[in-house]
Amino acid sequence: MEVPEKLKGAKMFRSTCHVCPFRCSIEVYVKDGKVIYTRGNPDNPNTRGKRCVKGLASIWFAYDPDRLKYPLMRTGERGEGKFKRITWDEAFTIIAEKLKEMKEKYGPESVVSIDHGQGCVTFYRSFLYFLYGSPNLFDHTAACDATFVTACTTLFGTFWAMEDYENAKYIMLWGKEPLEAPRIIGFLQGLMEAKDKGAKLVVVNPRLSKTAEKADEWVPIKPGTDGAMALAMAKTIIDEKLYDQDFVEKYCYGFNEFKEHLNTKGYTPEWAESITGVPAATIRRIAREFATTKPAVSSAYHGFACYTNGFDSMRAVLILNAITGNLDKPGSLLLTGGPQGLDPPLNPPIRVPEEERARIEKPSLREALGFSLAPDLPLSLLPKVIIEGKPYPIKAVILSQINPLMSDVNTKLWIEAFKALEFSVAIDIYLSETAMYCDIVLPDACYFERYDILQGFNPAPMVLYSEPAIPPPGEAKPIYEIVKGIAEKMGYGKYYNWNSEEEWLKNMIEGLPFTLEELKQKGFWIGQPTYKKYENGLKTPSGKVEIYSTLLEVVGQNPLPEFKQPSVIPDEKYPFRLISARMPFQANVVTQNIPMLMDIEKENWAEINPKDAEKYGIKNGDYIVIESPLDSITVKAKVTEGIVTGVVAVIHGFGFGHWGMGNIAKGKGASINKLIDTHVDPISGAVAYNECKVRVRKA
Amino acid sequence: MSTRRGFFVDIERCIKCHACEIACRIWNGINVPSYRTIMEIENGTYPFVERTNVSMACMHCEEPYCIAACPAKAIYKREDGVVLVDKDKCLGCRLCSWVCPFGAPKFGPDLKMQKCTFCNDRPDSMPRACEEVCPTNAIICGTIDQLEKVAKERKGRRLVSLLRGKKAALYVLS
Repeated sequence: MEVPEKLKGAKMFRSTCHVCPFRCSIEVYVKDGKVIYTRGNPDNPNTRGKRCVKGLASIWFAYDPDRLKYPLMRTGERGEGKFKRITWDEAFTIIAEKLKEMKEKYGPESVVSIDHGQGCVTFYRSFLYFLYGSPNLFDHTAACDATFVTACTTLFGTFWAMEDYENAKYIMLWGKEPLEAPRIIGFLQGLMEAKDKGAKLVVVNPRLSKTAEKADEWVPIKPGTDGAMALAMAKTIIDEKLYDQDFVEKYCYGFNEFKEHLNTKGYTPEWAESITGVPAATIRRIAREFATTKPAVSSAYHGFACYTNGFDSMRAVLILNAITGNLDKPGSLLLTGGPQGLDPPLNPPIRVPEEERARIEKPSLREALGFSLAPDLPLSLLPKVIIEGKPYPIKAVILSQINPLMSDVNTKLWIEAFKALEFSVAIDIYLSETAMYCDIVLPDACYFERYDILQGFNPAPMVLYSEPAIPPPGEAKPIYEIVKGIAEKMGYGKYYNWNSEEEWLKNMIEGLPFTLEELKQKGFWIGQPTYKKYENGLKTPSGKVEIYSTLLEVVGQNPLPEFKQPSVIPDEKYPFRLISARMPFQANVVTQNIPMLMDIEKENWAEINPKDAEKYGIKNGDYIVIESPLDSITVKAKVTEGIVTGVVAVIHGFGFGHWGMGNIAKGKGASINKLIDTHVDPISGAVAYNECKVRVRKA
Repeated sequence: MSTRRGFFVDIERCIKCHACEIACRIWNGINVPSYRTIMEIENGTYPFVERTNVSMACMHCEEPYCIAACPAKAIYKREDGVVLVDKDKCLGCRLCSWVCPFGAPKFGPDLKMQKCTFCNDRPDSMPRACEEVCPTNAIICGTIDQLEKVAKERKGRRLVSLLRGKKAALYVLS
């Protein structure tokens, strides 16, 4: 291909985007030491030469003057933001000594690490687990896919499932927004291809979201009630004998109990109408369409994790696939595709012989708090654990690429918890709000600046490669060098004495059917997708799709999905439910210091139905005060017909209202998280962001 | 037969994610304002609501009003149809922005007109920055002949300026 003048003499590097956790293989072009151009890997089916707007704009990470450049030690009060520059040697010494002290005084489990689930995190996870002996290594799952993952585990025995949009003829999405929160380009293009081929897209959402805009049918629903509609659909499909009899007989466990349960509970479309506001006739029609158009897929994601009833609702939505036989075949819900579907899995980068490993004596906090089926710690519960010291004391927190003061609910409680800690370390590319409360802050390398190997999200197993395209700014270091520095000071240097990064990169892919050279060449490796895995038995206790979950039965929970109302119900004093949604051009709390993105929308806004707005004299563009029992925020109102009444939707819910991070992000818009009290899903532990009632008035 | 170049914008696909705008700014190294403007139009009453998204830049019109209006003759049309501006000649009088039906002329810190150059530093074999990045393939760049073909496939139609009936090179779905 002819090369434009601008790219002549540029060198291309392979990398994996790390703006969100969905891992896109990209090409990074560097000229005169600067990243001048990036694009998606043209050969990779997930990226197809494209990047989403957030990833694209994150080229700014390579230029941002607000990036952290030196290790810092806190000098002022926690949260004051006063730090002094220290050397790496000082930082490593302080951390090593403090970790030793914590272990002696309180035991290794008193140290908790929270990360973003990717970007070299296996490095310090393996350090803290194998060598230090803490079982408390947690991810961002509770704020993300915890409900989806737990539903997949209990139903299918898989960690994940993925919609095959491209080949589907009927697509139903509930609280899942591939177009409003664009991540992997392949998902968006698959959805568009399906529509081109005439597939019907139905979106169930209280808002006319970006996905609903493109849908053949938008089903506006009262927030937090989707489970009722899904259960009524299931009852209709079963009552009218539209289910896949052969499939449920051969591959499902507990179908008859489920049928009986729907009858006993009386989950009729009429009952669902009274709960959801969706007409019974619509529910019946959609149920019939869904059951008789094949292949079809019904899926949900983070939207359901926002209520304490999310887990059962999620199972109900996924069960619709099982009873219609729309599982693990082209055009249906594929029982694969997650970040853990590789067999054998990726290895830890360092090798610690069995006999040299630390003994884990206490159960992890997740288990100790009674969330045995959840994939991760219910993060929102951590502040209370820190403050109360129960079930056991937590005295130190290490954070990497995560900012719970912005991204989790009940901001005040998190601040109190961080003040109560004895020791805290943040590894980040910015001085985030949470980092401002930490004792030591270490400057991280961004995804342009480090090696890494990660697993991708695709129906086929996929492994992705990253290499540094540019050096990190100032003295910033990639995680693997940070962990190495700490480990050496603690006497574990022998596990980290690699001569080049290739050594641990090779460790990670050992046993997989490709070489490091092949991975470098293409930037990724992809295997073959497999279908109909249920024919050989699933990894559930019964080996079948467990509509009746034996795992839930064992832990004393209801094995069949039922509908419960959300925990918080709007009342006279606080008549609205507060919900949130994404902007396509901002990624959670990560991208708000990118000037180009902040130019698009300088602040976030609240959507409200004209009927509700009129009652309070609110006009489009007015600033409104949103008050919950906890706190209040002021944001701009967007009066729109595309939302149900009784709801205020703040777009983007959190991520705006930074008071740290950088000069561009600071002070723009408001975060709803300080309005929301702590609620988590009792099974999956997901943060219930939408369990919040509010009132509004003109500012 | 026309080898004149232009854009096809598929409003059935545009999701207003602003990727085209950001790609344009990164490639062209421009400060605010961007060459692209992305709009949203809402119609209807709950629950029968429709929203349409449109991404607009210079449409490189067949008979551009801006060229006719420019007193300094700073705007010209290249042989391949791409409309460009000579910044040295531009007076910054903004007459072009008054007559453009698409709001394409933008004014940066130097107060001179700037607008979409059809990524004129990219070779023909490379897609334009906006087209390259569009996640839903809503923007297609090409010759009018190529665009006519896409328009036929996607049931698009040529947008004609309602003001004066002159031909623009934008296609949308009806």
